[in-house]
Amino acid sequence: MERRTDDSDGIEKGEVGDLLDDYTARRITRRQFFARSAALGVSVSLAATLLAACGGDDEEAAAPPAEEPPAGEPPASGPAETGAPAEEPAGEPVAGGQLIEGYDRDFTRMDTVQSNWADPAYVALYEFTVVRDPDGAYQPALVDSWEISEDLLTWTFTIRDGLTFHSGAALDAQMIADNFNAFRDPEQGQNAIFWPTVADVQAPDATTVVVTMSAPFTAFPETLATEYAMIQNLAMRTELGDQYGATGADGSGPFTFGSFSPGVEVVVNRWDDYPGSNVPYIENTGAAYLDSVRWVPILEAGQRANEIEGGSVNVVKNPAGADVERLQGNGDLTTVSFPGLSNYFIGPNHQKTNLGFDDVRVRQAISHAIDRQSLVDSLYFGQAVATYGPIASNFKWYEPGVEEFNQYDPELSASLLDEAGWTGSGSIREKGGQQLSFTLTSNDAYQPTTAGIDQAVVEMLSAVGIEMKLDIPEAAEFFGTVAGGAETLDAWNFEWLWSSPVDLLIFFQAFPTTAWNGDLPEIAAAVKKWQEAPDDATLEEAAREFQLAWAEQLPEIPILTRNDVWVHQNNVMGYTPSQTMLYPFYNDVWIAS
Amino acid sequence: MAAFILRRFIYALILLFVASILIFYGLRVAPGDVTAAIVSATGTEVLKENIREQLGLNEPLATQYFVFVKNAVTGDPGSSLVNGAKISEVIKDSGANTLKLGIAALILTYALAIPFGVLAAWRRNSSADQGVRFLAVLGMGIPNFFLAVLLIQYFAVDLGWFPVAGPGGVHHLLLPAIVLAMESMAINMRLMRSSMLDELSKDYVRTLHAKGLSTRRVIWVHGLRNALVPVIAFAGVVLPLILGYTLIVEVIFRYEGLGFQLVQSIQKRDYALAQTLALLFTALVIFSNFLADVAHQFVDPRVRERTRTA
Amino acid sequence: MATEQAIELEETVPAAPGAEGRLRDAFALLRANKVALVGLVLTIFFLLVGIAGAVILLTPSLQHLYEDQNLAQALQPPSAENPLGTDQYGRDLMWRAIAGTGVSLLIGVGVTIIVIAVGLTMGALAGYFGRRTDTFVTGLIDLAWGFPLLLVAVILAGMIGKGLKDVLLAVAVILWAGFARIIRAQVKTLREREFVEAARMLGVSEWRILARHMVPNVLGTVLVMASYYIAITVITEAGFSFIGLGAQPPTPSLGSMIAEGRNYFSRSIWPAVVPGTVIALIVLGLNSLGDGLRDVFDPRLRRW
Repeated sequence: MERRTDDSDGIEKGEVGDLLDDYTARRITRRQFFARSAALGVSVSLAATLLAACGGDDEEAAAPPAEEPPAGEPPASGPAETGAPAEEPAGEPVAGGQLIEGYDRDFTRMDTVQSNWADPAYVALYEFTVVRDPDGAYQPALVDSWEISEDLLTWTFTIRDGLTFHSGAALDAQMIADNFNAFRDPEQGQNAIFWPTVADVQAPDATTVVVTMSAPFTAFPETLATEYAMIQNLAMRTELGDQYGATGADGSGPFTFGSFSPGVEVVVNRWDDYPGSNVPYIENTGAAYLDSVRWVPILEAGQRANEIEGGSVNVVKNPAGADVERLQGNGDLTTVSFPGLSNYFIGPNHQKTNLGFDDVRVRQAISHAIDRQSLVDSLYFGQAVATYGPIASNFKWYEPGVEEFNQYDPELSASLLDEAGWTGSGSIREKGGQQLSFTLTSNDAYQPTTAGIDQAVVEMLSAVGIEMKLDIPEAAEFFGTVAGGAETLDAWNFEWLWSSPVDLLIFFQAFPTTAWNGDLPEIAAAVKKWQEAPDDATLEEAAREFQLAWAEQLPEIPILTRNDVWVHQNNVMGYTPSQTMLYPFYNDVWIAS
Repeated sequence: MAAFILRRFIYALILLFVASILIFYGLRVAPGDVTAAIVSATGTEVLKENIREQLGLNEPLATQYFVFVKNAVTGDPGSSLVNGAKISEVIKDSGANTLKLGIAALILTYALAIPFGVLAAWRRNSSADQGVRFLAVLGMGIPNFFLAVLLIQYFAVDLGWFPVAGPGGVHHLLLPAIVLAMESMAINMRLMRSSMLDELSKDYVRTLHAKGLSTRRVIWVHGLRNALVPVIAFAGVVLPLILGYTLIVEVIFRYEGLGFQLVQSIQKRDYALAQTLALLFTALVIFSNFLADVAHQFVDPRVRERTRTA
Repeated sequence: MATEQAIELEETVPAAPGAEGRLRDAFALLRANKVALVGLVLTIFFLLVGIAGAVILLTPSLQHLYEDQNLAQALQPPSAENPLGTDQYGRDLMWRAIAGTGVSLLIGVGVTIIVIAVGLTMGALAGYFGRRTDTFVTGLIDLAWGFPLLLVAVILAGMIGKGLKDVLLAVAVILWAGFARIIRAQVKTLREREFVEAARMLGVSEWRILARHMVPNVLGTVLVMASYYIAITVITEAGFSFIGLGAQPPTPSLGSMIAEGRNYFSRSIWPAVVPGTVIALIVLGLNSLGDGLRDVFDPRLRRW
């Protein structure tokens, strides 16, 4: 193959050439080629052209990506994978078959505007405008490309012409603009808080969307790359009203709405007219291979392992921690385990000055009393990772410096409390007649997956003379209780789960009230820097500063991040969960016999 | 007799009406809000208000109650507040599962209780009899959820015989059905035994023996026919019993039947779904009690005497 | 509940007047019935365990016995240090089981007292005074009968919050109805007996008749049913705790112990098996004792 020598794009021809060589020599996959060339500044269309020019692509294009761990700079706690041997293409994908996936929750209505949880079906039915690749870099999805104006206030997105929804309705720039406007309307969109500086969205022509900001918003693609910004046919949404997503749904993804029976199953069927995904790291350039996908809820964690071992499902997420070891030893299954983008924290109410929660020493004392590693080992059987800062180590901009803080040190804890004036020889410390005893409004009913940490923490705190009591409101009351008790409650706990963590944590600065979370100037400064950042480099700086300030000042006290564990049968090909997406794409999935 | 049936039927309807009020207001009084299941912390108050408005939750309670009753009577209970699914579909899907489970439990109950009960009576005080009686005592003593845990572990996990999850094939049904049937099987076993013992002490049994019929025929054909009467009468008690236990068994096994849906919907404050399912369940119990009363009338001549003179 | 209805099915003639002489015969009969004896032994044993448990629960300085965690020693099988093993937090299962039995005892006795008191009163009033009182009470009974127990518990949990008081209330609200029914039937029949007629003719007030003649004659039934109700309540409380409606952490409950234990069953059977076996033994003991008592107080049912 002749290497082109013109440098009209101003790209280091040597580097791209190296990439091409790597690709043809099968040292990297197609997906990695696109990722790395994008990092070099090569546009998607050019990269595709280069590949085509190299010839002999049709075979590779058809071959599914081999079983491999997500590439790129691996975070400190990289994914652990066992089971099938990697890097061996297993033959040609075969069309047909139904994938049965065990879901760890019951289904929610499939409406990206108002739903509070994105089922895996979203990823099959709908498409993102922008997507995160496994390394966390932004990739085009529905949109082809985007440009940011010099003053950072105007974003221009370009989409393909002639896109449609399953129903045939046009998916043009106006529809995308309408979707954006719905998402950012706080009276409609549940996640409108993540569109703070978007002032206006217009569609000057059928293939261009112009978003105007009131202030620079470099992290905007983070918002677009969540499941709550996936594009739907709003006309059908209006038509079906609050039954949209239950009795019907219209998207542009590789599968169409089949049936929705909460508690029983959700089924989607292949859309034969799917024009193919724009996402560079999706290998399949056409319609999906699977005939259909069927999700069944398996609410009992202990049953998930049974189901996949018994073969009644092909894939399952989050089997019980106690079963993971057994599954990893099962030669018919592939088990992938990596920390989720989540964190569990205890949030003391900084307004409770009588309990000393406004004193950073008291908060640090609480933190140092917690033996996170033993929680990981015993309660989670190792399927979790201790967190010393707000975000777990798999975040693309994780700041390892947070590990200097919050290590298990009960003696330090005791001395901090002594210093802060909390002393006592009895079992509970006292200061000025007030006992260091508080009630945790616990999320155990709302988020059963973290049930159990509370009780262990109660013990750990009592060892340093702090009494923590538990109050567990019912799931339906939890947020109401916390929000309504912003002046009266002592502390709450919560596990956040969100693919763009810094944005969500900014939200948690304000929930239930900013006074509750303390006015900590260093953190506020980092947040401001993040929100005003003009480029990625500044974003990264801001993220790191945010993490360090947070770990030291402890507006909330981090504990641990659970792992996401994905198990699939070895004959399920092309199923590749990543640490940056809640659920993996189904475009590449096929079932070998 | 007809007057009696009519009276009891009207009575049942009144009960149902009172129950509907208790259910409706009981759910509404509970703190917590359905929007918590729909909107997470990131949603604004305005959004939650809009949703409440959209779902008709801002109407005065009395109005909402009338809507509830009207829908229930006309057979169109609307949609789930949380996920928009049509409640009639939910009832059909989950109801089918619960029905399967209930029927399986009933079959298990009688398929085991009758032969074992007769055997125990026939071979009174033998080791077979002792065995059956011990089984009955055990069946009434072991908490069914504990049995569930043991069964799941040993049959599903250790032996890998059945996957234990929601609905599906016979596999998924067997363990919950066993657990559900346990207590009623034990009670019916004892009832069958004692009823059979009663029969066997009667004169006609001796007559039949004298005539030359084999013991087997005497017991299993003639004796059984008569001994079954109280067992059948008792079925009126067994049915609501199994129905009531279905709820807890479904929750334990996370078996996607009506009972499980009911508990989930109450906890999520999905008022539309919860009140409909709760009413349905209560109606089933009230009417099976009604049928039991009527059946009892037919079966027990003493009671019939009393009603005729009343 | 079916137990009561089974009894009701057979119930026609209650115990005759002259209870004291029968008591002597009663104990003689009881001693002869081996199963009932075992039941008695078990019941007394767990009563003592339950009392110990209640003491530990209510004494702050002793609570550490079942609260002390040791994550490094989680899910251990029985050993010298932990005779019944440890749970997922490394807590001693024996002390937790004892404390849990205490909870069961307190709830069981509490509910039973309420059920007997309310059921006895309502049933006696309905059976004795008849007509409108009877219709009213029977209406209430049928209403309580119509609601599945779990439904009531879940709705009540929503209204007053989860926890033991929810279990207590829910069970009591439903169970009293069955007992009232039995008492009503007995009192109704008793009312027709000659000695009542005689008392009335002598001018004794209705209330005195009720108190001095009716109630003592149903005491046998009270004793029998009491043992059943305690058993039913123990299982029901455990069942509710199993699904998260009953005792809330850190209060130990045999039911919630089983629920937690099942998540770790593949690692260690003890956290689930210990509480489950305890419940089974308590219930078996109470049921056997109840059967024995019924044999004594109601000969018609002896053939069971």
